[in-house]
Amino acid sequence: MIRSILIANRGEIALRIMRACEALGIETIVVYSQADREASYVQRAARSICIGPAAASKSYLDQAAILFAAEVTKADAIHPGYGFLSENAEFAERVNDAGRILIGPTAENMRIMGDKISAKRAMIAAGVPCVPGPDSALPDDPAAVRAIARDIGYPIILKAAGGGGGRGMRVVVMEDELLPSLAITREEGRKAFGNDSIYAEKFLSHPRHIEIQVIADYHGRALWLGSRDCSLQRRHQKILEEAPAPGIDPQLIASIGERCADACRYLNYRGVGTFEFLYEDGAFYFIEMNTRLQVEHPVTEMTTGIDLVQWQIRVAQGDPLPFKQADIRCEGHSFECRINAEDPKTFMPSPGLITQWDMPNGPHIRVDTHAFAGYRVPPYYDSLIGKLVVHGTTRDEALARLREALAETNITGIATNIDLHRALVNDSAFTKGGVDIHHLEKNHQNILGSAA
Amino acid sequence: MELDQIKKLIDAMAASDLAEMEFNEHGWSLRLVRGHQPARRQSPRPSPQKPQAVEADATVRSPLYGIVWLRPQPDAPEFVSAGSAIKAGQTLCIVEAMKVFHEVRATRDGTIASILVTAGSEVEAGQDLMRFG
Repeated sequence: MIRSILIANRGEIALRIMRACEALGIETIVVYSQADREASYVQRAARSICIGPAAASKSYLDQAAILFAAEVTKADAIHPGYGFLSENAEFAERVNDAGRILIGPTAENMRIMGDKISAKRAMIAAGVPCVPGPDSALPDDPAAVRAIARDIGYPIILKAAGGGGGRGMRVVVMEDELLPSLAITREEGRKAFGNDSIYAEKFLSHPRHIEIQVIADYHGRALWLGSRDCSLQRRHQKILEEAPAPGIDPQLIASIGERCADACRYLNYRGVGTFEFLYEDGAFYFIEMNTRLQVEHPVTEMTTGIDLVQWQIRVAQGDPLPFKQADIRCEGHSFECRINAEDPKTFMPSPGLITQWDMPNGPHIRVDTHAFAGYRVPPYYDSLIGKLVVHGTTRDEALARLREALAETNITGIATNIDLHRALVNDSAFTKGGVDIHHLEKNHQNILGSAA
Repeated sequence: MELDQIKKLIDAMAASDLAEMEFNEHGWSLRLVRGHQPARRQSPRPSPQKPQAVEADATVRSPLYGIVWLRPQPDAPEFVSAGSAIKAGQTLCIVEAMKVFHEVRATRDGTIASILVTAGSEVEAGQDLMRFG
């Protein structure tokens, strides 16, 4: 039995975890940095401990400080939230070595899924579809390279093994371009990264980002809890998410969901997690697994009726999941807008004092936030200051509710992306459903302009 | 603001060893700077949304609320120091906010006279960071 949980995070997710603890009758202990001293949830916690100065590296990422706080408060468990130490296998081990429970998967789970190659190999072994392409470097023999490319099917993308962040990559549309492109990419890889190994993968030109929520207990039960579509992104940051993913055959989603649950059993996975996929032309391709609670978990809670954070805690203390896959339902539709302290046009961050904070309310509306009028958003952490979540019996109903909720929202003192959300919910491609991951970046100005 | 009053302020500043002074009254603001920079009237505090408003000014101000850094990396030399000759477009410092690193660049050529902030400190939008000589 867990009697007390130390919350090793901040902001809206610290408050979200606190609510789950309170509902379960678990004592809350929150750690905070000097910059978060005034946060409302710090006052709300049964106990609170300052663990260091504002910089995250000296507070929320300081393992020793957090472990020491847990020691002096005799916390039974530590909840890492998302970000910070939530996917740090070494931290998970240290928590366990200190005789405490980490609310999350095992350190081994984190290690396997945290490495791209070992994750891909594990997924292939578990029967989860991955982006087509060999998991080794291309050979030198031109005929062998051509055969591999033909096998994958054009267009393909050549990736320098040492590359990343969009560098050292080249798309090849047809065979004539293959060998010249390979030579250039090799040269770039050698010069830029000191490594001329090149991998080839199928190139997806207009994929959607679809993910599957899973939960697994310590008694061999692993379930998938529906899909989410998180295609509205900017620089890999999700902006607006929904559940379920619209316009995809529920049978197809169910078969992918089953694969994910199988993979959890194969990996001996524990706790909540998310399998992220690219989806294009009716096919799913695994990209990575997040071994933690996610920001967008509320849309799954709204459609399944399951409190993910409470169950994450209960599973961690050894409770068996009382429901079976057949009990899991997906009712209606849910959206989540991430409210960020940033300019909707330039995306320039905008920390500072919130002078007015009017949040919508009414049926089927949920706001997860730690902010309030008079709260000073610190400049040290990410820009997420709240989440507006709605539910409707249909996607259209949920969308109409979201429009009203956004109209009721009024935040002054700092810039927020509310105007971007207001424009997005009236964007014809988004309201139709199923935009790809490039939609927002490509059409950002048009989307904002048409709303004015 | 009366002309007499402005003259008095100029005299008061000339009699002192002040390098710069700013005076606000009834929505007016008067800024006097000693040296080759001519004193000029200035609109009320520059709005944080419009960092361009301070361009070509002798003062470098923070375009946003954040944490100021004077070096690109902890072990690298400082971007500039007092006495550095500066070309327009050169990076002077970084203001970090919410994991975004915003480079503050010089909008004019000149020499840095003084650095008014310490690395790692919080700066408000519009706060003075550096001064050209």
